[in-house]
Amino acid sequence: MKPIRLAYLNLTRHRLTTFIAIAALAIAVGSSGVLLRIYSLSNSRFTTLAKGGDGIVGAKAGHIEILLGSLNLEGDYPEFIPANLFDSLRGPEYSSKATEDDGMLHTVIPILVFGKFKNYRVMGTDESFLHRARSEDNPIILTGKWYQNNGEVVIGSHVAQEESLKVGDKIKISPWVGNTNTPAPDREFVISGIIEPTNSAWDNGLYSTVEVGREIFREGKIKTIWDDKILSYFLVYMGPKAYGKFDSLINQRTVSQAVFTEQAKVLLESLTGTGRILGAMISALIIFLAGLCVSALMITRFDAMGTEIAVLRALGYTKKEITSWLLYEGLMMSLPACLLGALIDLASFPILKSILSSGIPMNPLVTISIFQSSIVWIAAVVATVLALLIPLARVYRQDVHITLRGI
Amino acid sequence: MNISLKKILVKLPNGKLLFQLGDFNVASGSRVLIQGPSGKGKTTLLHVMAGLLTPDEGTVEIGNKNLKYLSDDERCVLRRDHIGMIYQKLNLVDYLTASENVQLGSELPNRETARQVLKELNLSGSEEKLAVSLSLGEQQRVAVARVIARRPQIILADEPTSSLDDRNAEVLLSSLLDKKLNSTVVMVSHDHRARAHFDKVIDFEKLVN
Repeated sequence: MKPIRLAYLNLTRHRLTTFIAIAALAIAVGSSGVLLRIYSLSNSRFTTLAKGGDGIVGAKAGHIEILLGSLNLEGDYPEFIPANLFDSLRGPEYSSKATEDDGMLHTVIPILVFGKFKNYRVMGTDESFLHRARSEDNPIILTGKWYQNNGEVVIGSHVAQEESLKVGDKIKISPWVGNTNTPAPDREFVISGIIEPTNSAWDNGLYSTVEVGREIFREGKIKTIWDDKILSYFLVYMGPKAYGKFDSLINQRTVSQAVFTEQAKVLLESLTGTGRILGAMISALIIFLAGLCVSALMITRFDAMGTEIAVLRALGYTKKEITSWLLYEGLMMSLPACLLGALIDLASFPILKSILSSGIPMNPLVTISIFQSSIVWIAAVVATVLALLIPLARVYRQDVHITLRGI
Repeated sequence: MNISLKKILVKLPNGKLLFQLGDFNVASGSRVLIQGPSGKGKTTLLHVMAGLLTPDEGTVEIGNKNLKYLSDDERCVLRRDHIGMIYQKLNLVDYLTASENVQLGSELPNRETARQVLKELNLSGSEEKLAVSLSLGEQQRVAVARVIARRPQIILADEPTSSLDDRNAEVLLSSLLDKKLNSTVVMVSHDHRARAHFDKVIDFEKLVN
């Protein structure tokens, strides 16, 4: 009888223990895989932050909340800021010409979040979004053109790709004005253009006029202290000497909050750095623990087979054949366990994603495929094979005579 | 295939002498029954002949091969190809059927041969039963079937008839000592029913010093 058949019979004749072992392995593989993928997804926000100039103005909130809300299009619905402030920033000190050390504001881009198309945010803005003080930050229209009226929308490349949309298509946009239930009906928009991929959160956005957003607020009878003269954020490009004035103007004299983009990024990095390291460590620890579980399981199983191994040796099975037998058993358990674990991973990933909802990017630009868990699968198989080393060491040292005599 | 033992000395794990014997030869095709009291080393002597235990002193030759010069795996191959051993504790693999236990060890015998041998040993109908579900007597016959199905040149048997009634003991001994097998047989047993079947009966206490 060949070792592979012996391995198969041993597993199939001990169905309950085999099932428990495979289920335990599968759960370890599945949970490690899903956590690893959630970690990767959460980490992806650091690579997808959009370019939004030097400063961001939002409602009074934390710097990170404003940064991620405006430049990564994530988190809860933002509070409002008065549009009058935006108008005054585009006032006398506003200049479209940037110099190295001036104190002027050069671009102020309005953003009003007002709707959702599936999970994608729809924002009102204007042409300043395309024409910024630093031209390398300018999103470029790939096909079609910038919207011409309130019934048109420009979409990010990721939205177009994921939803198979093209210029001229009509889409329905649902009003989204925070937690307030709005009676405003869904609106139909025509896609006028698609923005070239920026590999940033802009690829996940839909852009129309600020005015259409305000119409939705009026239709929905959303009350704010500034009526419909509201915005969600302004993105500001400014000269180096404007930082101080900008800071004191916004933070000390208005209801809004100014955030300097680079400072906020550094803050985000430093605040979440520990979390990221911790996350990576936890993921590694879970994989390690899963490996240990697998090893412990296999060692216990193989250890209990000491007499059986001695019998087989007495019957003429060589050490190489015994090794093959144990290896086949390990693989026959770990491979289906990995497959089952991958299915658990596949099924639980969207559930965990929806539970975590605002804690992780909803429309990741990076692909978080099931194959990112392959490191866990490899670890499980390696752990199984490593687990063979202990019983194998015993096989190689085993005194068959003593084992068979039970001395 | 002959068995030749020369100046064998075996100690217990605690270092005490278990037995010592001078020269002992079993000619090819002969049948030898070794009898003697328990605990004196009869089973250990069979293990020495099978290459499962290396004696503390002396040489063991199977055919023209000195076991001292064979590696562990080479001794395994020798057992697989030439030696069939029936153990006192039977050593069947619990989760395998009677037929599968007979097929253990090498690619031969195939399933049909295994079933045929089991039938000869009055085990028809038990071929697909798990070893653990068989009676002690049936298990004993499966252990014997496992050996004779492979038609080894040497059969070493340790109390193979201890749990059998007269009829089954007779069937088993007839199969084990079948002239067609032409095997060299060394059997250790207290069973007086066995004496008549052997060419030579040796008192273990007289064999060892």
